[in-house]
Amino acid sequence: MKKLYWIFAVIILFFVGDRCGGFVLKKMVSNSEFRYSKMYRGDADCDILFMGNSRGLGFYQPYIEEVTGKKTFNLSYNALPMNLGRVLLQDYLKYNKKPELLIVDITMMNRVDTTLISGFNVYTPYSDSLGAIVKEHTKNVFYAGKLSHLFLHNSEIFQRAMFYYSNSDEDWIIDRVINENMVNAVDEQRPFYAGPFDYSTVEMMFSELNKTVKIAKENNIKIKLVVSPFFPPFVKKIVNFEHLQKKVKMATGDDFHSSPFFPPFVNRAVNLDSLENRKMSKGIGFYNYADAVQDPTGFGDYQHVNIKGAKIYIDKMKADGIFD
Amino acid sequence: MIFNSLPFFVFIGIFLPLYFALKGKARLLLCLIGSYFFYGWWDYRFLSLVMFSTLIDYVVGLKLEKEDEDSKRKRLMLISMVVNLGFLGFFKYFNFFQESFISMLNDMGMQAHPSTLKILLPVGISFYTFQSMSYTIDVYWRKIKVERDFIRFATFISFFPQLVAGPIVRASDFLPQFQKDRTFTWDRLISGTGQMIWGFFKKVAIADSLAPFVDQCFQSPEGFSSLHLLIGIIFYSFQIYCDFSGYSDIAIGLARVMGFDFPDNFRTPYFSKNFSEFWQRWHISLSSWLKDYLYIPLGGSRGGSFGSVFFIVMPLFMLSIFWAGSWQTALIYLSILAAVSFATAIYMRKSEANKVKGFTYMNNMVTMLLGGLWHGANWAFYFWGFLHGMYLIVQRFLGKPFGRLMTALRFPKFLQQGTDILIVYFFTCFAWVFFRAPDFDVAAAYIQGIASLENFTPGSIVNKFWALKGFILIGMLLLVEISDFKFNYSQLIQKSPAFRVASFVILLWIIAFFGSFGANSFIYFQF
Repeated sequence: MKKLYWIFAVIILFFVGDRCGGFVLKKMVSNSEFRYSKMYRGDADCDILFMGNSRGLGFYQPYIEEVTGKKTFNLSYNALPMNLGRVLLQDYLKYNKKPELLIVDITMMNRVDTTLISGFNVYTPYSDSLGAIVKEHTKNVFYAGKLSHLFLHNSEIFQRAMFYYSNSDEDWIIDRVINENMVNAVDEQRPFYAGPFDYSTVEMMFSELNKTVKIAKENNIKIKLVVSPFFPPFVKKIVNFEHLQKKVKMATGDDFHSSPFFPPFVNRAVNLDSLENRKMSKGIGFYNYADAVQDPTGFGDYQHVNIKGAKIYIDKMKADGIFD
Repeated sequence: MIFNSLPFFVFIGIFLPLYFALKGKARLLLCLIGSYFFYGWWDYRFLSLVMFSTLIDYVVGLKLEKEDEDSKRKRLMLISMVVNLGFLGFFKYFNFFQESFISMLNDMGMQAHPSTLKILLPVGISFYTFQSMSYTIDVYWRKIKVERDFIRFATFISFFPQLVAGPIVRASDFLPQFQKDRTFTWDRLISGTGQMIWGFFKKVAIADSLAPFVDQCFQSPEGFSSLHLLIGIIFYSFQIYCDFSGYSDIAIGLARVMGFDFPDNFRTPYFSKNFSEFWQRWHISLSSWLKDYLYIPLGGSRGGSFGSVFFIVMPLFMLSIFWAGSWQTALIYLSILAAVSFATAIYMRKSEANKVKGFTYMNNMVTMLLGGLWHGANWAFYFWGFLHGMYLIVQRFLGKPFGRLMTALRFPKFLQQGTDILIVYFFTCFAWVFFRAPDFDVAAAYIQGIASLENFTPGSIVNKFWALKGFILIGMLLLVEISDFKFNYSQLIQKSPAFRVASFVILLWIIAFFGSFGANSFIYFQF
């Protein structure tokens, strides 16, 4: 019987420690200078709001603020999918003042990373809609987070919140130059080099883009859609780009309807020339900067600009009046 | 069914109370049905393989006991070997031979097309086949008595805690434990659960957390800096260790809860001071299997015969030809092998001592090559085995002079031991590159990438958070292993209930906080 008490002791001690630890960690997350902590704290008012995946980190805030004189905030995160972006936008508007302009890198629509979504479990105490999306994609993680508060903080998002506990992440961008091996191997057909960008894949993301546009319109926020730069020789690795373009046009119009029968364009070669900068109907701008940075040293890898590349990109955006 | 999945916890929650509620035959039968259910959860069709192997070895065992005539006993033994190794060979090596053969024919200008038959590898086939074979060989050598109870024998072969990834438990250790009912004790429950929690910590918290970083490195090493790649291989060495030893810990702990004692399968292998010691600490059940059923019968370190070496080496020669992929490469392979064999033969002719040494080297190499091949039909495993064979041989040549050099240089003992451990770890990691890489080009690019020392700065690490988490977890593991080494931590856990409770709770917190709960499969399932 005495042994049984020890087993109960393990269980009770586990939960007591778990709740205490969880409480401390939650406080630390909420006090962090990490972007989402600031956002849920209501410390993220801005004039220009950005949204994207890791490529969206190319919206290098310190330089944009320097050249525009406007306050910025970036919702981008590695592999951030559109549906999560939409929820974050809603939460941003709930806790902070409305921005004048929303700039979205539309290359965030080609995949849904459930691991990342589950990582946002750490912010679910502040947002029911975030909880709903975590529950929708990773039900077990959602409920496990309720059971163990230490588990709630078991993610890269939490680690970043700790990393940026007392210093801002506004200057978060790749700080390396693409290495020579990668430059030389761009034509190889290994998985890493084969071109992971296939834009025909995730239909649901277009309805999420549609919702995002509607939210922006309802809040009188100007919205501009961009394609951030790729390493120039890598551009030819992108497939189904026309498909993306057509779907984006549909998704951003009021007449959007999701069609599961939309013809697939599997492995169709990209014709980036066909995507000229243009103003789309309904007042939404669509701007293609895929080949805006030609200098190879402006890239950290095939898909991400470094600070140097970001500055070239931002200068072009400024010249095109994107930030106006 | 895998240990780190919800279905397993549901299964074990139902199975264990039933197991302890039943007695005698009924319990044994439950164990067998539970084991088949556990295995069939993955793919029930392959259950027939386990059953067939069981049936063959059971019948062969009975016949061997009755038979006194040597030639008939040999024939019976051969039947068991052919069936067991036949299944193993077919399921493990068919795809490889088909592809290599066709590639070679095409290379020689003959048109050949692969059949559409792609053989799926049954999980754990190498483990239960070796376990089953050890029984037949021991009965043949009259080391153990035959098992007459079929249910007991079938449970021994398919016992679910260790069915799919070991440890490979010998009949002489395991079968006697079935003789009487294992009783439930709190001590067993607590110590078994403790070992399972430790296993889950290794698998879920460490191995699965290191996996994404490692996968990224080996997917395309050209894209990463030398420091990133170096961290990648260090992480892989701990990933594979924690993945495999974590499974063993869970299996051993679960068996202990059920009343069975299994031998250790890992004993802090990365603290080994030489390669022989490494193999006494790494995958001990396989190493000792290979030692007892292959290395020693070949002659071990006391010599051997050309006949037995030839019998094993010839298939390896043939395999090398298949591996070559083209007849030109095959010719190069064969020339190298012939030259090495010729040089060895000359060396062995010089003196009787050289002959013994020569056989020892050959036995070492053959054992390690077959140990590599046991993992699968892939040049990488073969080369990995070759490297470890070479390490053992070179160690025999250089071990003593190196020790004398260290003593002459008056190295303090701890520094000498530290150097030995680092040298063994370094070369083990070098071999892991080949074990993990999908092909030779990637392995070469990986090693080249590290050796280039290009961008050897912390800034060049692509995902610093994964790296940081990995190092924290490895640090925790080493802290526990070193303290266990120095202060016999496990003994302290046994003696002090408060210390035990604290250790379990801390481990559970760490698992909750760092664990990766994607029900990732164990690396050794593929073998």
